[in-house]
Amino acid sequence: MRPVYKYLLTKILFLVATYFISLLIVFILPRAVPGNPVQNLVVSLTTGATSPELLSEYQRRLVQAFDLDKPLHAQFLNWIVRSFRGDLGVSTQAYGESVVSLIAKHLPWTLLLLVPANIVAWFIGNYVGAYVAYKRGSVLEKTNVVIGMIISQIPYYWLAMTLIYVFAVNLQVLPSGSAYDPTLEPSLTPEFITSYLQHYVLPFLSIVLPSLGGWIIGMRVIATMELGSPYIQYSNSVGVKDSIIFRYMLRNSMLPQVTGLGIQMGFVLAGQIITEQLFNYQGMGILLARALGARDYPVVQGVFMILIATVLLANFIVDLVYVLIDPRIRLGYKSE
Amino acid sequence: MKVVELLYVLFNNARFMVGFGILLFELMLAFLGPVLYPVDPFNTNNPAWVPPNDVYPLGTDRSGRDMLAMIFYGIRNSLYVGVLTGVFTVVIGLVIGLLSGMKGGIPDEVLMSFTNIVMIIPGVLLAILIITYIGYENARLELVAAVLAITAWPGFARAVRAQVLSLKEREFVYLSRLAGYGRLRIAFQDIMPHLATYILIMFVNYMNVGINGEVGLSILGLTPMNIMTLGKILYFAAITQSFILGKWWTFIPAGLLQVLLSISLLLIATGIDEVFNPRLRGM
Repeated sequence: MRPVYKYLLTKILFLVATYFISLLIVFILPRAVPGNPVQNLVVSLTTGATSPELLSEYQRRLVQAFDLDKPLHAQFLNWIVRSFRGDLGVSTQAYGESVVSLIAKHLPWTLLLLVPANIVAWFIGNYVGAYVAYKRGSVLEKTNVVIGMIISQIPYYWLAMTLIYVFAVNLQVLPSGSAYDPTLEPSLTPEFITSYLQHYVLPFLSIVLPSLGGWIIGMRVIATMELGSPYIQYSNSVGVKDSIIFRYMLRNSMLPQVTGLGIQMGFVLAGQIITEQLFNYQGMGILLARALGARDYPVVQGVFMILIATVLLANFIVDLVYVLIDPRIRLGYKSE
Repeated sequence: MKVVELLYVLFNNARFMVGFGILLFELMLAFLGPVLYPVDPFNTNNPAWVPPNDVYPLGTDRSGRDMLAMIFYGIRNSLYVGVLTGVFTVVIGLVIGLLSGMKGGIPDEVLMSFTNIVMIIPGVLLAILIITYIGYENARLELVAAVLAITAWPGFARAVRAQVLSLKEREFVYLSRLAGYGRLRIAFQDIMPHLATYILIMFVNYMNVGINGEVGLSILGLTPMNIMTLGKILYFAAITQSFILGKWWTFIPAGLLQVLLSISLLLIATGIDEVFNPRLRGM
């Protein structure tokens, strides 16, 4: 077998195993926790329920959603098999809407916000970090290091609140929440797109700004080491132009940061929940937050299945891309 | 090195000193504040939405809670969560890392596969899931810290293992082995001292992780309702929409203090690193 396939195969096996274990955790938790939260939910609904029909309907749905009448291993297998057929169950709160259609409604908005924000932060942060390292010893470097360190410690949720307070409430230049004007229907008309972009600015900034700091700090360290390497010193000594040296250095230093991007994607995907909640931005985060509040377990499980899969895939893709763009790793595999 | 010498070196490091100064300030707020300003942070018998004035130095929120009192107790409890998270994470990471590094072979393979798997399971999601099902009514700060630690340890465990593997090949460890000392004694007497500063640095970093993680879980409403933390303050600000209503005093001071606390911990960690890792000096 060619080494590339061997590499791919181990990676995929590991990915599948990890996903399986994650799903097992998602599955076991509600059942293993003392007091059985699902039963508790039925009890707490009993106390608030007005009509017995409504109550028995809830109970039926919960028992069905969790297969509570079957043995554990059957419940797990059933859940997995049904999920892979695209049936994640029915929400106990959203008037019996299926979990899949709820997720389909919310996921695009999250991706639209998340992917560009992460990539923009990554590019700007790395560029600034490399530039700062290149100008080492200058006042610019020192101020930038301090600023980078401070903004890396600003929590994004607090920044989100402050941004809303400053730009939406005090200056009144941007809307305070929602993904688009609620009076408009999502479509590709110029009117809707302008409205969407206006609503986009603040959540976008609240994700980009705090992650800039981390990239700047990380990149500065990597680039400083790169600047000490022989090929840079050689280029310097034969009089290669500064701008070209900077470009060499930037490219080589960016490589390790690709892995960081993948990890960041995973983290932000999860952290998104709070940002979306604060901006009332109707993505996966809002869906999950509402489901958590209402103890809508089928939705919680469904969202987790999708989110964990996305995070794992992001990691996997980044690993592959890393092999593709860094010739040193590829060569390492060939010589084995 | 003697403890006095050690402290002398540390106190000469600018970053460490700035960080330490800020931390002292926050500690004063947390421990002297409630003594000098004995107000119940959960008392709702005050007028609502009062801006900062003579009676309420930092104003009140929608339910009439005194913001200054909330901040004093908030910092205290947030620090508690931070310290606990730091301790839990470091202990789990050390046990797994040392075991893996010292034993080698199959135990090492098993432990490291497990670590790698936990590492890519998104921690925030896992924490949310655990607390949701346990029920946040029953959740205590200790549980919050434990949950945060459960999701944070893999990176540390891997780093400990890597260090143990390299330390294991050093002469003094060979000498201990020749002398017939057991693995346990070698781990604690020969290897641990070399990891001490690294453990300290990571403890400070994970304290930061704990403080920030608690705030994240709190904003989602997943922490106990009857304990004031920095996260709880921001949670109340978020559910009462105070930032949209323009009540800046309900979230700006608390957030600034949290940012300051995080920066101080970061400065302390980098300061210690600079002092004990001479290669980093001037970088």
